[in-house]
Amino acid sequence: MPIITIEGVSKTYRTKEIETLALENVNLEIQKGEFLSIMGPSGCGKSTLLNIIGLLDTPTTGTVEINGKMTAGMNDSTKAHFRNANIGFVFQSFHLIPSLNVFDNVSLPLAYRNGVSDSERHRRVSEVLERVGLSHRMRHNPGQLSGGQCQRVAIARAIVGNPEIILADEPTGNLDSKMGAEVMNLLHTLNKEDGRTIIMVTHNDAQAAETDRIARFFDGRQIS
Amino acid sequence: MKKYLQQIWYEMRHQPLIGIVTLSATALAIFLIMVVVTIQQVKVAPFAPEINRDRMLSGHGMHVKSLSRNEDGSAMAISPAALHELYDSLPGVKALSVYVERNMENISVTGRTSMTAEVLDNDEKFWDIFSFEFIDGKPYDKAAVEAGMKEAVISESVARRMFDTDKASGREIKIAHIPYRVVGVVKDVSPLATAAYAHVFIPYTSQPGNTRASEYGELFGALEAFMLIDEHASIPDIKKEVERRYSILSSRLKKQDQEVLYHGQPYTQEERITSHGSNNTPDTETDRNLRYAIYVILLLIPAINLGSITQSRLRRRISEIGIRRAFGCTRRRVILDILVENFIISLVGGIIGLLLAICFSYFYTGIFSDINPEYPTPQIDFSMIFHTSTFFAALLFCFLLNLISAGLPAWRASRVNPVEAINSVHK
Ligand SMILES: Nc1ncnc2c1ncn2[C@@H]1O[C@H](COP(=O)(O)OP(=O)(O)OP(=O)(O)O)[C@@H](O)[C@H]1O
Ligand SMILES: [Mg+2]
Repeated sequence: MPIITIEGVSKTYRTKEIETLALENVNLEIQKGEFLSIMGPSGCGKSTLLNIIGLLDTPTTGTVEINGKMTAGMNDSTKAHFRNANIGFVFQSFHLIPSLNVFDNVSLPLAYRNGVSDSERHRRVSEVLERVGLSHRMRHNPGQLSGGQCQRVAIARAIVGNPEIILADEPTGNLDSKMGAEVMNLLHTLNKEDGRTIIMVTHNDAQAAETDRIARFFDGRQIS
Repeated sequence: MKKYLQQIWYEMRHQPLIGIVTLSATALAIFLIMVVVTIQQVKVAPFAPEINRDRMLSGHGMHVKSLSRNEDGSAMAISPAALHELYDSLPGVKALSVYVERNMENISVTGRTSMTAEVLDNDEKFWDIFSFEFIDGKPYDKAAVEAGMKEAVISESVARRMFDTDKASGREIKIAHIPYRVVGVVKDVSPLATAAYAHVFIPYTSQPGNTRASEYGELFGALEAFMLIDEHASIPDIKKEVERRYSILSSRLKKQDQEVLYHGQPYTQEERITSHGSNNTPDTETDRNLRYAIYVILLLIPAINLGSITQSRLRRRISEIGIRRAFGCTRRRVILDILVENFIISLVGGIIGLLLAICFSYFYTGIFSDINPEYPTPQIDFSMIFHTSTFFAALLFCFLLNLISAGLPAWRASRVNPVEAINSVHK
């Protein structure tokens, strides 16, 4: 059974002057535990699709079903809780919160979940930081870390709440190849060891080739 | 809590100017409001010796008018007979004290230069309604008042001036050239205690004029009254009963071609302080509305400024808000967090403002000068200007200021599309 089912999804952006068709009739099924790469030229709608899957954006037409739940018509608070429980985001430019240290950045998703005690939070944050190899940087600020370290912190943040799905939008786009490889290794571990479903946007053919499947887009349409 | 403080600390370090402006604007706003609050509290909140202001009512002159002639009528204090008819054994009234309006009198002691002082003629119940601190001796009692004894309680400063000591009990003092025996010495009273203020207190019965009706009629005389009511007494019920008694008096006056007009007596402290003479009803509502209008203005103007500061502070954090939402923060939580964080800043500013207001009222007593304009405004003590309610008023105003200034920016921040928020670059 697919964990994500996308049916007939289109997205039109309307600004005053122009109307952009960012996605056009996309149909996609993603299986539980699958590592999917999304590829395509700039502006073809990759990020738009990821944001729609992540409930950060809504499709103009079409439906998205995640974990057996239709996402259309959810109100803000339902969406927020759904994201919190099911989805972990990794962004190209990390998007750590500069005023928080590593520990607090990582524990962010737990702050929006009910009933997580202090000790529980501490345990889980330590655990994921251990996994990304940054336990010793817990009290550092994001500004004191390298790009690769920042992205590893961001990955720790994405998995601390134990979501089934990880959405990664060009996670290595801002990293040199060595650090990029580290991040990719980490993502593969999360996929293989934990069985998490990962959807990753990438421009890197070699990286994409190592994943289970590649979905290619052009001009808002899936071409393969 | 910690996370709010962390965020505030972070912003303070990175944008100290904005932090300072926010704090000072809040402090200034709360300062101005609290000065207005303090002036009002000195008028109506209890402080020694007027510790029972909440439970005190006062009956003053009656407004008499001719029935046939078209005139405004006049206000006159009342005779012992009328006073008892109007105010004796009212429901819920625990103590009734009779007094005569304060008078400046010549005070002398053999072998001393004389002085003038405020003399208040009253009775033994006065000492129950008000809480005076006796340094020496004790008040005159019921028997002394009934017998019209020439006994006096004097203030500490009169005692020192006349006898070089505050242990003046038993000494003789001449009040308006009539010899009295000092029975007690009390701590000086501030003229801001408009009911209890005087330098010399004597039984009203010791002055023969006080106990007689005036030449205008058997109802008129020199007396007024303070009443202490039970904690749970209903003031409207008391007033209703007094109004009924007024109408009885009035109907009796018909044959003299006169009537008395009822103006809502007996008055609460707030009514007493806003009343201008006994021939009109005190308009506490207008006063209150004016005060509310001042509060609104004093809140709105800084709130608008603070609002735009908050707005620009939040614009810088819009990406952060988007990220938080991606990880499960609801819109409502966004608003709540911003309000709480802002409230902490408001509180710090508010505490500074409150302290400033207290210091200002303490050192610049001129702001109280129209409470009792006949006397120079005296030294203030903290019990007059700081009450628990002062603190809660400041807290409330901080809360309102925060809500008005941060409410809209917070709401707007919560409405931003999370994708746009995340991708917005604002440094
Ligand atoms: N908020 C928006 N308003 C208007 N147009 C938008 C908006 N977001 C995206 N678009 C447009 O939609 C199209 C798809 O954008 P999207 O960001 O999904 O592309 P992308 O495939 O992620 O590109 P890139 O590889 O450069 O990240 C583009 O033409 C873009 O200009
Ligand atoms: Mg993109």
